[in-house]
Amino acid sequence: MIPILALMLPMLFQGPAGEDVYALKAAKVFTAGDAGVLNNAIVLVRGKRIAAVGRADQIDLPPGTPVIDLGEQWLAPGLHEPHNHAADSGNDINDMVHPTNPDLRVAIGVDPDNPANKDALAGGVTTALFIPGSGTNIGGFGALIKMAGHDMDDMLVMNPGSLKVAQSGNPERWYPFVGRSLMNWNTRDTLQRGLGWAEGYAAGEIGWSDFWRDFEPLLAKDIPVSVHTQIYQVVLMTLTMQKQELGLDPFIDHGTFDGYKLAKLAAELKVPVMNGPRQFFFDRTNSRIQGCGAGWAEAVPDGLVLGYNTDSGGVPQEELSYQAAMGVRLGHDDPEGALKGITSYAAFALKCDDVSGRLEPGLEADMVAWTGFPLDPRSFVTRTWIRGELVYDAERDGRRF
Amino acid sequence: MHPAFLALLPAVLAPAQDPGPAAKADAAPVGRATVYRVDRIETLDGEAMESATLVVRQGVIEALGKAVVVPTGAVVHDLRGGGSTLMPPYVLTHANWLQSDSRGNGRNARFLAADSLWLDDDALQPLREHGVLLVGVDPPGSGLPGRTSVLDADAAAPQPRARVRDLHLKVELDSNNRSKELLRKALEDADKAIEKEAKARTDWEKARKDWDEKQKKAAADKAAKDEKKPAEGGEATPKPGKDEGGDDKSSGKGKDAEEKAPPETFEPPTIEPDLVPVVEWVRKQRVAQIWVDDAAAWLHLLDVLGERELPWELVAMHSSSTNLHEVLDALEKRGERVYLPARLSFLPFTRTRLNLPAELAARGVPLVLLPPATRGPGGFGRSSAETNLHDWRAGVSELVRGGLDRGVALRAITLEAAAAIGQEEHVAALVAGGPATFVILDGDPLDATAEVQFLLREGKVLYDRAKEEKEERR
Amino acid sequence: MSPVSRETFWRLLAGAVFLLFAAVAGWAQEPPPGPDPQPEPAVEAAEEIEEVAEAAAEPEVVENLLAIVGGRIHTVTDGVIHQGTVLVRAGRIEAVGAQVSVPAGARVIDATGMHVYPGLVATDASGLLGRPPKPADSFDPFSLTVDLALSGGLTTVHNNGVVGKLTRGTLEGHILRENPFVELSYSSTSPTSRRKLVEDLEKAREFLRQRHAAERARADGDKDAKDPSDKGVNKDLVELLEGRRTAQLQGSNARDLLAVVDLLERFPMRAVVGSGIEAWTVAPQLGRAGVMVVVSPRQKNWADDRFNRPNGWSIENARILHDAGVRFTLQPRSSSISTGGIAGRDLLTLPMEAAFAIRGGLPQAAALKAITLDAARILGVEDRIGSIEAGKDADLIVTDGDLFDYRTFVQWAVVNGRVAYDKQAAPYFAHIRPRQEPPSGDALDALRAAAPGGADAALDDGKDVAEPRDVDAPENSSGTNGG
Repeated sequence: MIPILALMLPMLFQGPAGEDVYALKAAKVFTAGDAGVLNNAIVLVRGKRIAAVGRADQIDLPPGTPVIDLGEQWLAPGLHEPHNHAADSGNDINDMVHPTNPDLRVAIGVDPDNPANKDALAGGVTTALFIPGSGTNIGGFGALIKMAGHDMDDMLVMNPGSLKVAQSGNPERWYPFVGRSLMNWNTRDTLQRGLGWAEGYAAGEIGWSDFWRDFEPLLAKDIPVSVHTQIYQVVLMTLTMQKQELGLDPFIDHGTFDGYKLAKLAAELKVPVMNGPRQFFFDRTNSRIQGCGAGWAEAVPDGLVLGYNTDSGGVPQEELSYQAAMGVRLGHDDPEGALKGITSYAAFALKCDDVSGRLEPGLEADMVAWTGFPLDPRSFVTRTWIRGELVYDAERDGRRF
Repeated sequence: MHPAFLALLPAVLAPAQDPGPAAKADAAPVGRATVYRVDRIETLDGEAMESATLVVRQGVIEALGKAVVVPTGAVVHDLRGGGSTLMPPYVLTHANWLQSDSRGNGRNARFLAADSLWLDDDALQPLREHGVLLVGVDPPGSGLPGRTSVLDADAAAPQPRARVRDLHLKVELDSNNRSKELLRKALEDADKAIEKEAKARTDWEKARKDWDEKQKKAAADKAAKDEKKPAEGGEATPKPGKDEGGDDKSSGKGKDAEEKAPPETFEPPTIEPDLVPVVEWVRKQRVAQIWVDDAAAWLHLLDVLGERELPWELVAMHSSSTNLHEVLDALEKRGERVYLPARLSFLPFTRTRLNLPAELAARGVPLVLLPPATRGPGGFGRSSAETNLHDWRAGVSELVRGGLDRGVALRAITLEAAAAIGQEEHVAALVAGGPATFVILDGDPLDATAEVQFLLREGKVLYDRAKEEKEERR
Repeated sequence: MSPVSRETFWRLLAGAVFLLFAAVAGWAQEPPPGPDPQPEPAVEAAEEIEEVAEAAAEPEVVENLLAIVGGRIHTVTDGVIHQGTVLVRAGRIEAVGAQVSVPAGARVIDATGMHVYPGLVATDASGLLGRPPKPADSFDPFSLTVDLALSGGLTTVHNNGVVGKLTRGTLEGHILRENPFVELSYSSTSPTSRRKLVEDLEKAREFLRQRHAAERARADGDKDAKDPSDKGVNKDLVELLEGRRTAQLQGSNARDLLAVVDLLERFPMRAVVGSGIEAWTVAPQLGRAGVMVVVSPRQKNWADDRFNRPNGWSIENARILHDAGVRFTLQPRSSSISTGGIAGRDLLTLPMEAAFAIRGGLPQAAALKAITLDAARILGVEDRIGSIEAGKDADLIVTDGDLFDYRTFVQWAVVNGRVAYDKQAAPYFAHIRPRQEPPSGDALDALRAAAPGGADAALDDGKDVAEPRDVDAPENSSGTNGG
C-alpha cells in the first residue's frame, strides 16, 4: 500500500521544470563508484537523474519528498551488458553480405516489444550494447540501448554504439577457403579505409560518405570497438591491430579460452576486457578448470578493467549477474569488483560512464533493487528504474525472473 | 698378447672346448668355425662383454668372451670399431601387418591366426632385416577372435609356415562392442559344457558299472547252470543268448532285443568348435592373452573373471594418453607377465609423462614390449612392416631414456618375448655351448638407427647385410 | 566437540608432547623463515622420542572406518546438527550426532567450519554411466566426467534405466538399482494412445486381482486355486500397479499434466512427470494426485497472452509446487557435464540450479530435499540414499560453505564409505581458493590453542615425522601437507 502511495506522491511534489522527485532508501547501496558501498543510504532522484547519494543521516531531503523504503534490500546501478544479440526480433543479427560490412547498422533491428528485454529488466539489466553477430569480420555498427522505452528513440542511448569486429573464430566458417591471414588483412584494410575517410573528412579534404559515416565517431573515439575475440593468438591480434596499430579504443568482448594469458598486455595497453559467455577454460595440459575471469583478474592490480558478458541469446540476458557470479566462483575472488564489472566498469568500456553505470549525482537514475547481494543467484530483483521511471516491479508486473 | 701366452692358450682353452669323448667320436670332420668380433656382446646373462669375440661351430657357440682365441682356419667377421653389438635376436610377439580377415566382435575362438596370414614373397624380409627371428601373429577382431600363432622369419621355410599354429587364446575387451558380455557368456557356456561332460561321464561310468555287473551276474548264472548240467549228463544245455545280460527281473520284457553295451571308452559330448578353446582355457589347459586398453577395461575384466583362477596374461595396448597407472598396484600384486607398447604416454589431460614399462619393471613385473602402433581393440590398422619395426625400436629407446632399465628393455624384446611364446629354448641368453642364435647390429640396439648386420639361427646365416647389399648392387 | 575417552586423552597428551619435541627438533634441522632465534638442536632427543612415539602409535588405519568430524550436518530428515560427527563403517552410516565418539583406527576428515550434506542425486544424467544395452558393462569409473560430477557433489545418477553410483576407481557397489521406470505415454493430444494404455492397465489390474484372489483362496485351503494366465498382460504395468516401479510421463503443458492427474486417479501408482514447465499452474491437482515432478527452474517458455489461463514458465514453479505439497526434484536444462566452458548451466553445478529455485521462493531446506531425498524417491531408492541417517549408504559430501552459495565448492565426496573425491588432491579445482593447510609456523602456539581432545589440524612441518594416529587429531585426508 505504502509503496503505491509513495509512487503517486511524486505527482504532488515536483521539482523545477515539472520533474518528479523521490528518494529511495535501502540498507545497502552499492554505488559502484568512489563512494563504495553505503549502509542505510538514500538515493535522491530528480527527473531522469540522480540528484544525491549518501548515508541517510547525511542527506537533507526536501520536505515532503516521497521516500520509498526498500528495507533490507540492496540498491545497485542498473547492469550494463556489453554483448547483446537478443534485443531484436530474432532474424537481424547476422547480415553476412561481405566479409566486412562497415556500412551496416543494427539499431534498426531493435524490437521494443521483445519479451527478452522485459526479462532482462527482471534480471536488473538496464543498458545493453546490441551488436551484430560474428558471422563476418565486421558485422556493422551496434547500438547502445536502454532495455525499456516507449519506442526506439526512447531506447537509444548511443547510435552508433560501437563498431563490431569479430577478429576470428566464426567468420571463417561461413566463407570457404578463408583463413586468418586473409581475414586479418581484410579487416585491417577495411578499417584503414574507413579511418582514412574519417581523417580526410575531419580535415575537410574529403566529402561526406554515407557508407563510411560511422567512422567519424569511431576516429574521434566517441565509440569503442567491441571485439569478438578469444584464444591467445586471436586476442593478441586484436590488441596489436586494433589498439597498437590503428589506435582505436577496443574492448575485448569475449576473451575466453586461454586469452587470459594476455592479461598483463591488455592492462598495459589499457584495453578493457568483458569476459564471457564461457567462464572457464579446461586446460588439457594440466587438467585444471581455469576461471577466465580469474585469469584476467591477475592484471587488475596493473589497471586492467574487467567485466562480464552473456553474449545473450545463448545465455539469457537476465543472467548477466549470474555470469559475474560464476566468474567469482571460479577464482575472481572479488565479488564487489565483479559487480562493478557489470556496472561501472562496463559503462566505462562502453563509453557511457558519463551517462550511467554508477549511483552518483548527475548520472541517469538507472537503479535496481535486489533482495540480497546482486551476484547471489538466490537474490532477485524487486524493482527496476530506468531514467527514474519504474519499468519493472515484481509485485505490480508479476515476477518475470 | 705375449706370444708365449698365445702358444699356451690353446692348451689352456682346449679342454673347455673339448666336446667330450662321445661327441668327438661322432663329429667326424670337425666343421669350420666362424668367428664374430664385435665391440660388445649383450649376453643378457650377467654383464655385457666389451670388445669380445664369439666362435660358432656347427651351430653352437663354441666360445665367447674377451679373451677368446680365433681357431685356425676360421672365417672371421671383424665388426669392431663402430660400436657393434651382438645379442640374442629380437622376438616380436605381436605383429599386426601380417594377417587379415577381421571378423569384428564375436565368439570366433576356432580360428587360428596362422590361417589368415597375408604374406607375399617378401613379407618376412623386413623382419630379418631388423633382426627379428620369431614373430607372433594374433587374429584380428575383438571379443574372442581366435588363437595366436608363431611364425619363423626364416626364408628357407615353405610359406605360409607357422612354427606354432595354435598358441594362446586371444580375448579382446572392447567396451564399445560389448565384448564383456561376450566373454561372460563364453565362460558360462564353457562351465555348462564342462558340467554336461562331467554328467555324461558320470552317466557313462554308471552305465558301464551296471553293464559290468550285469555281465558278471549273467556269467555267474551261466556258471551256476553249467555246474548243474554235468551232474545231469550234459543234456540240457542253456539256450544261447536268451539269458545273456538279462537278470530275472528284466527277462520279462523284450527278451529278444539284445541290450547294447555302453561304449568301451567314454565319448564326451561334442562341444561347438568356437567354445572348445574356451573350455580348454577354463580347464587350465591353455593360456589366454587378454587385451585391454584402459583402467576401466581392466576392472571389467576382473569383474567378469570373478573368483575364477585362470591362466592369462595381460596385453595392455594403450594409446598416447592412458590411465593405466591406476592399475599398477594390482599388476604388481598379480606378478604375471604384461605386454605393453613401447611408448611413453601422458596422464590423461595433462602433459605429465608416464613411463608405464619403467613403473612396472621397477615393481618386478616381467615385461614384453610391442610396437606402439599395434592396433587397439576392435580395429584393424595395417601399417607397413618398416614403420612398425622402426617405431618399435625407437619406442624402446625412448623408454630407456625415460628411465626404463636397459637390461629389462633388452630382455623385453628378446628373451622375455621368446618365453612368452614358448620359445625360450630357441632364443636364450648367449652362453658357451648354447645355440648360435643371435643378431649383430652395427651400433647399440637401443639406437633406432643402428642397422642389423647379421642374423643367425643355430649358426645358419638368415641375414647378411653385406651380402644383400652386394647382390643389390649387381 | 565430541567427548574424549580416557585412553584417547592420554594418547593425545603423549602425542602433543611428542609433537612439541619434534617441532623443536624440526626447527633445529631447518631454519624457519621468521626471525626467531634458533633453539638448540635436539636431534638425539627427537630420535629417542620418535621411537617412543612409534611404540605408542595407534594401529594402522582401519580400511572401512571413516569419521567426518566437526561439520554442520544437514541430515535432510532430522534437521541440522551444528557441529557433529558422521561415523561410517563398511560403506554404511553407522552413527550421526553431536556426541558420537570415533573409534580408534578411523580415518578422520576434519570438517570444522564446513558443511556435510548427503550426496546429491540427479534423476537424469548423460555421459556418466555406461551405454546401453548393458550400461553396467561399460561404466568407466576413471573417466573425467565422473571426477567432475563428484566435484559438483553428485554421488548417484540415473541414465538409460540404471541408477548408478559414481564409485570412482571401482566397480564395486556401482549399480544401485536397475529399471526403476516404466515409460508411459498419456498425452492429452493422443486419444488412441490413452485408450490403449487404459486398456492395458485394466488388464494388468484384473490380472493382479485374480492372482490375489487365488493366493487368498490357497491360503484358505483351496489347493486347486490356480494363478490366472498372464497371456497378453503387460508385465511392466503389473510391476507399476504393485508399486515396485515408477511411471515416467511427460507433461510440459498444463493439459498433459491434468491428463496425468486423471490417469493416476483411475490407477493410483508411483509416477513422475518430466519437464513440468507449467506444473505451477496445476499445483493443487498435482499435489492431490501425489505425482512427482522434475522441475528445471530456468527452462523458459514465454506465456502466450491468448490463453485465458496462466501459462508458460515461472521462476516460482518449485516454490508453488512446494506450497501445494508436491514432491519434485530439480534438474538443469543440460543433463550432462561439459568442459566447454559455459559455467553454471549443467550438472557440474546442480546446487546452482537449486539456487534459482530458491530465488523463486523455495525454502533452502526444501531445495536440499529436492536434490537428495526426493530425487532418490523418484528413483525408488530412498531407503538407501538421500539423507544422513544411521543405516543408510555412506554417500556424503563435505562443502566449504552453504551448498547454495555460489562460491561454495565440494571439498570431499564419499561414496559407499570411500573417499571418491578430494578437491585438494584432484587437479581440477585445487587452485581455486585452496583448502587452508594446517598451521606450519609456530607449533607451540598451535598446541596451546588446542584444547584437550579438540579436533585440531595435524601439525606437520612437511617432515617425515612419525605421528601417533590419534582420533582426535584428525589427519588432512589429502595426504602429506608439505607436498
